[in-house]
Amino acid sequence: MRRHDPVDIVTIGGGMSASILASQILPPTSLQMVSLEQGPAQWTYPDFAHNHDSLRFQNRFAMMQDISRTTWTWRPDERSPSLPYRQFGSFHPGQGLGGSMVHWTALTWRFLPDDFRYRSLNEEKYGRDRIPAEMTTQDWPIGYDDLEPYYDQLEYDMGVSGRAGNLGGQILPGGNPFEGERQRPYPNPPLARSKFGQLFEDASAGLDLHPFPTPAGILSQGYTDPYGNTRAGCLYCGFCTRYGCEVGAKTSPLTTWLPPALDTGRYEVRTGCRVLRIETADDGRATGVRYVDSRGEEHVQPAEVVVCSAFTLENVRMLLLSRGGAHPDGIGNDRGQVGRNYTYQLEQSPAKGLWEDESFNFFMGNGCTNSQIYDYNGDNFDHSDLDFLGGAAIAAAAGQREPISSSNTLLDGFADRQWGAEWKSMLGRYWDQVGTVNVQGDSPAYAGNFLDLDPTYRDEWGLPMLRITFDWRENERNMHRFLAARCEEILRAMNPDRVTVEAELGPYRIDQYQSTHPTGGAIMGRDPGDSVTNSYGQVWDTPNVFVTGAALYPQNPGANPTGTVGALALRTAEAIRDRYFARPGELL
Amino acid sequence: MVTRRSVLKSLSMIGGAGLVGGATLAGCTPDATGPAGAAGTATTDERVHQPERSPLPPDEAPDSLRFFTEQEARLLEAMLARLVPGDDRDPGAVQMGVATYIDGKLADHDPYAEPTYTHGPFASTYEEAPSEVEEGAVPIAERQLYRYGHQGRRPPQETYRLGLGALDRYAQTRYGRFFADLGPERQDEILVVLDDHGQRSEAADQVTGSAAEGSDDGAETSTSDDGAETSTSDDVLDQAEEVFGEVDPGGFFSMVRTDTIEGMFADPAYGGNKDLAGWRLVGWPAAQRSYSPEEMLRGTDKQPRSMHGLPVMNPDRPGGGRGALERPHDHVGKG
Ligand code: SF4
Repeated sequence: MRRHDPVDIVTIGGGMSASILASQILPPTSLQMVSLEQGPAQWTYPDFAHNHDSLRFQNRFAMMQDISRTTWTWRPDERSPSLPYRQFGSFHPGQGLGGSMVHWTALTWRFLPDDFRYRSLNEEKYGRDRIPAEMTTQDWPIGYDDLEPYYDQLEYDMGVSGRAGNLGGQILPGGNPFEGERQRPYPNPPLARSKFGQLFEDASAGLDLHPFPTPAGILSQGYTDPYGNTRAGCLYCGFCTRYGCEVGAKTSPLTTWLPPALDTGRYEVRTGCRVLRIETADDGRATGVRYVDSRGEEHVQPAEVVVCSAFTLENVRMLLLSRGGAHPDGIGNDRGQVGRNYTYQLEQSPAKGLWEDESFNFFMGNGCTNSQIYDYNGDNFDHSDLDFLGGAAIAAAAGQREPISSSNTLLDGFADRQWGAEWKSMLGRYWDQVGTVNVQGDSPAYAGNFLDLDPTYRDEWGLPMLRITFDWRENERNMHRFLAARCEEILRAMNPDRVTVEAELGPYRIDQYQSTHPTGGAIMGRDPGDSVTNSYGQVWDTPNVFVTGAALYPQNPGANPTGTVGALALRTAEAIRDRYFARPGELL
Repeated sequence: MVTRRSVLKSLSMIGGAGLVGGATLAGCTPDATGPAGAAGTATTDERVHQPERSPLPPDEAPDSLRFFTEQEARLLEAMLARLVPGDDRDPGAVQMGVATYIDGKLADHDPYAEPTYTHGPFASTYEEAPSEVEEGAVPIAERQLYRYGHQGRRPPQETYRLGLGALDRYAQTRYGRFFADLGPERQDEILVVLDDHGQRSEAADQVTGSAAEGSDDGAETSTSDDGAETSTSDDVLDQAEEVFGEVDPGGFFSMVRTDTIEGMFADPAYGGNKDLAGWRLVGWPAAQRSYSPEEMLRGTDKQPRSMHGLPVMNPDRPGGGRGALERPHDHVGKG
């Protein structure tokens, strides 16, 4: 066992949050930081110079966590047994320097002001009895206004491309009129629009809805960020989600925060390292982390502050694995809060159309070259007479279609069998002529959906895996039915020749990809009695341990989580830098 | 764990065929450097770099069988010929070399090509009560199993061996001949049974969707029915299950179908997609560096191109930004 010299901060994971922390905390201070990353080092050049191999990245998951060594287990409810997630399906946590943000799709949202007040807003507006007894949603400890400056900084760090909808209270045409008030427009104009996105935009505008271009963490033009990184605009190459961007147009830690952090000479990332637990002293404070390196040798890295900056699921697991001494049930779990309010994302394609004589170039572009509407998201529409709460963004199918991952289900609902002569000729004719209208909806929290350690399955290092207990509820089924009808209205206005609609939301199944948006499980709150951390991600019962990322969300709104992960990390970084090290203790 | 650093052969000169019909985003795309700019710098990096992240593609497309016996390959090809029929003018799975692709996948990866957790305990299904299940296995209601994704304990190599054998047994049982010796109609009848078998467990559990009303614009409406009734009777499905024995007929069928799609559309380096026939079928230009905003709206005349044909990324072109792309690597390394 090797014991390293102490550092000020050690992070578990070398992804987005870690690089944001390093880039904000280190340059103006003399602090030292180490990140332990389970995956390999990787750089835009030359590692992504040639990566247009869809088999390798789509079906063989070259960028993803190696789940042959450690994975997660799942069961639909407490009565059912859990089984391991043996192959990738529902979600795709990445590994390697820069983390999942290297292979992401890059939709970059600010959550709506209402999203931070899910519970009180719905109670005030619709009455307490509209919240199902099992629903454990709660308000965030901070509001949109608290986060606005950090959203603003994040967008300029990343060079986000989009069109403002609410600039200083003024509603601007062509943007998202439902967004919270922003102090500055996006730093870059929207990405080029796809043909299908254009059609969606015209159709939904014709229905008096409010389409706007998807805000993207992808540069629409050359951009020099506040750190001096100069990057090229997107080439619309069509190999985006699940790949690293070969020109650095897609923002990631590699393009943005790692350079200024590494330039200090006081940031070190050790790759190929698997953290086993957070070490604690008798008084319950964390003293550092214990990990195994790429050769299997055990190390201890002592640190003043420990940050769980891995993916949602591993952050929660790390807290639970750090059992013993002053924290018999794990760090942050002295009051049984860890694992509560695990949520996901309702992501479906309820309406699909086929155009006999129109092809759309779906294979170009990326996951952001489309348009969205927010008219049915959050509480942007009246729920008084509806049988559910919450909502979803509705969007046209975007780009980057490729045949290996699309052909399996593309013609479901149009071809009788998904093989044979008819299927083949239809695939040949219509591969680029079938498009969907999709929903990305919120996922409320329920007492019966939670995370804990699996009693049976252990990983390669002998540690219990994390067990996910999760299924959809009545609220989401009703929401889906309503949204499917809205999707169909828009789709029909796009004049397809054939339409197929899936109105009913089936049971949650972990084998089908939905989104890499597992959220919650180490939620932030106002009080140690209903949360694991305060609004800075600082763990109530172990104040020198911080959690970053979407594990902090009390419930998940109808938007991709990454923008808020970034804004929260910037806010936490500032607090650690300016306040924590001056006077270690609780940041209230 | 693959540790070798593999470099793929690429076009030796950037100014070659790869540039024909190249990008129009001057100054922005690596494609657009033009022969002059490229020729000056191609000396440094004429080969396409593959990062050390597994799994890496094969160096060359395999051309002989390494996993299947001749007899297995003949049977597999008979099945492929019905899954995606074709002939020399209009290639199907056989003409595209899908059998070579599958053979290579099974020979090159032990046991799985994708990251897979292979340790027990494994699931075992019951119809009525968990007590039906043998000791040490995790009891799962049969109708729920599909929700858990891949849970098999048998490596794909074994599933292929046993599955192909079972397919012939089933053909014998139903029609008294080997599968490969049956006519196309009979072969299809068998494959329909396997396909329907795979959909049965989901059908039991899923709520069937219903089309929304009010289709007044003339578009034909259908309802997705992955969970709907199948056309094959339960008796027939049960019989297939019995004959297949330890291999799940629906699972085997869906595995072959998924591998067929991979073999049709993966880069030819993997052994299938011969002459880029899969990509030509759907009209996918495949390995391209860029499309312009105009192409996004109006379409492109770029032709399908393999990874080997992709021009080398050239960060040294004027404004190519090597400085911006090549980050300081100090302080990042294996722990
Ligand atoms: S689509 Fe654009 S952002 Fe995505 S990988 Fe290609 S060039 Fe990069």
